[in-house]
Amino acid sequence: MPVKLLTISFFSILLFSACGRKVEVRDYVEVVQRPEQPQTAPQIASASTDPMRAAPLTVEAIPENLPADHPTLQGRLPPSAGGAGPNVMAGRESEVAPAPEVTDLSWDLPPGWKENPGNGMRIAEFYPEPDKPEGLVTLIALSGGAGSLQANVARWRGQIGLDPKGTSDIQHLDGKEHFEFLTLVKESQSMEKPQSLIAAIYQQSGRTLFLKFMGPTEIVASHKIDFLQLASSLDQKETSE
Amino acid sequence: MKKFMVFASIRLTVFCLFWLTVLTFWGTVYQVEHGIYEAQDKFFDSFVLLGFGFLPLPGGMLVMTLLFVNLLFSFFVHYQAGWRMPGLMLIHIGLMMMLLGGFFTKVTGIEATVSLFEGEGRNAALSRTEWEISFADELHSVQAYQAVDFSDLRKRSKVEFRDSELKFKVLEVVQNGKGLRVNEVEKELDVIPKSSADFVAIEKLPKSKTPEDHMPAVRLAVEGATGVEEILLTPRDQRPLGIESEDGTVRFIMLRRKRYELPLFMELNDFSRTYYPGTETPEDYRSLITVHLSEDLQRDVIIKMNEPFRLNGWTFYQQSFAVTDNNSEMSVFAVTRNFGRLVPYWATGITSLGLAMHFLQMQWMQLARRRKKS
Repeated sequence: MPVKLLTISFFSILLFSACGRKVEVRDYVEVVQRPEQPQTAPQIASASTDPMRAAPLTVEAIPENLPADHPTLQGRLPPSAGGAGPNVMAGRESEVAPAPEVTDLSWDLPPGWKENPGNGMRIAEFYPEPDKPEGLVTLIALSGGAGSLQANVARWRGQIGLDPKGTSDIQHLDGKEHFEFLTLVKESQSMEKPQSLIAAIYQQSGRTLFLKFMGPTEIVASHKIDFLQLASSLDQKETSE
Repeated sequence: MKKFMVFASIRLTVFCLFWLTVLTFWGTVYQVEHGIYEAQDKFFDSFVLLGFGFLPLPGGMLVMTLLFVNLLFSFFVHYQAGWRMPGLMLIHIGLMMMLLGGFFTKVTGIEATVSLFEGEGRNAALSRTEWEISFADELHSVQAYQAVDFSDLRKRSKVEFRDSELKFKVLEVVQNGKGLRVNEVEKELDVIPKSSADFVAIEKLPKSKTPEDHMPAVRLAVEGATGVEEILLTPRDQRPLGIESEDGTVRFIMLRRKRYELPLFMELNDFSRTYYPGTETPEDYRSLITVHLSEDLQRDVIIKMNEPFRLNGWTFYQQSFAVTDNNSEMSVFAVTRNFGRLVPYWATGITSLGLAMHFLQMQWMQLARRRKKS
C-alpha cells in the first residue's frame, strides 16, 4: 500500500506541476543610456563589400506584410538583410530605426540645450541643463488620438503629485503649428524638490505629438521661455509626394 | 520497508540507463530534421513524450528523476552497513550531485544577450528565445515595468497588473506567427482588435528549427479600457500600444523579448577588432566597458574573445559585433547566469575519486584473499 500511495503521489505532483500555472507578474526597472551620436541600423558586413567588416552577423528578416511607412522599412537594411543564424539584433529591432515621425519634423534647439535622439515612439530628448538630467524634455509621437487631452492631463497631474481630477488651464497657442499649452506646478512645501510639468500637445492628422518638460520646479521655471520657443518652432516639413 | 525496495532495484537502474541511451540516440536523430531545441524539448525536458505521435513513453525528465530516486534509495538501502564500500558511496553521491546540478541549472540558468553601441549603457539583458508582455505607465530611459512571461500565457489565462484598472484575458496565443491586416483577412471579424501596427488577426506559422526565429503573437480581451475591446500584440509592432483606461490614465503595453535585470549597469566605452593579416578570420575583438555596481562604485573591464567577465554567477562573453553605415560599432555580449556552473566539476571529481577508491579497495581485498589462501 505505501508503495502505491507513494507512486500515486509522485505522479500526481508531476501532473499538477505541469499544468495550470498562474500568470505571475514580475517587476523590474530598465535603464537605458543612449549614445551621444544618433545610430542607424547596422549593415550586414560581408567579405564582398568590405573585408574589414566581415563579422558573424545576420539581421532579422523583415516581414513581408509591413506597410510601406513602417519604421522597419525606413532606410534600414538592404534587401539581402534577412537570414538565419545567430541573431545579434534580437531585441534591437525597434531601437536602431528612427520612428517615421522623425523624418518630417524640425525644430530650433534653444541655446545651451542638449539634444539626444529618441527611439521608437520617442522622437527626441532635450536637456535644458545637460549636467542636470532630472530636467528632461521629451518629444513623443503617438498614432491616432492617443487618449483624450483630459486623460493625458490627469495622468500628468498624478505624475507630479497633484490630484488627477483637479482642473488645469490649457492655453491654445500658435507657433509654426497650433498647440495646446499646459503648466502644472506642485507647490508642496514638504517636498524637497517640488516638481513641475509643462507640455505642448499637437493634434495632427493621424497622430498626436507631446512635447513634455518635467523636472524640479526651479529648472522648469528657468527654462519655460526656452521651452515655449522650442514648442513654437516645431514644424512639420513638407513632404514631396 | 521491503515494498520500497522497488525504488532501490538494480533493474530500475538498468532500465533508466537503457532508456536514457534510447532517448539520446532518438533525440540525436530527431534533431537533424527538427533542430536541437525541439529535440531537447521533446526528449529531455519532458516527463512524457508521445512516440510516433500517439504512444506515451517516459521522457528524459521522468527517467532522470527516477534515476535520482533510485540512486538515493540504493545509497541508503544497499550501503548502510558500516560504510564498508566508501568508493561506491562516493560514486552514488557524485552521480546524484550531477543530476541535481543539471536540474538546478535548468531551473535557474539564463542565456541572454546585451548589445551596446559605443557610449550606450544598459542594465538588462534580452532573452534570445523568451518573450514577455511588459506594461508601463510611461516610457522613460529609466522605467519601471511590470511583465508577464509569454510562456505562462494560455488561452483564457487572466492577466492583471498592479495599480491599473485594466484587465486582460488571453483569447489567442501563438508561438510563431505573423500579424495580418484587414485586407489580408478573409473572414469577417466580429471585433477589430487594436494594434499599433494595424494588425487585426494572427496567422499561425510552423515552428522553426531555431526558436530564436520565432515571432510570437497574442490577442487579448481588455476590460476597463475606453474604446477598446481587444488588442493584438506582436514583436513587429515596433512601438508600444497605448491604452486609455476608464479612469482616464493611459498605460503602455508591448510584446517584446524578455528582459533580465542584471546586477550591474554596463556601458560600452570602446570596441576594437583585429583580423589575421590577409584574412577575414578575427584574431581578436574586445570591448572596454565600464561596470557600474552602485552609485559610487564602478570599474573598467575588458571583455574579449575567450576571456569573459564574471560577476555574482553571471558571465559576459564577447559574442559578436555589428557596424552601422556611419561606422558606429555595436558590440554584442552573450550573457549567461549559472549558479551551478561548478557543480559538474565537483560531481565528476567526487565520482572519479569514488571509482579510484573502489578500484583500490577491490585490489586490496583480492590481494588479501590470495594471501589468505596461500
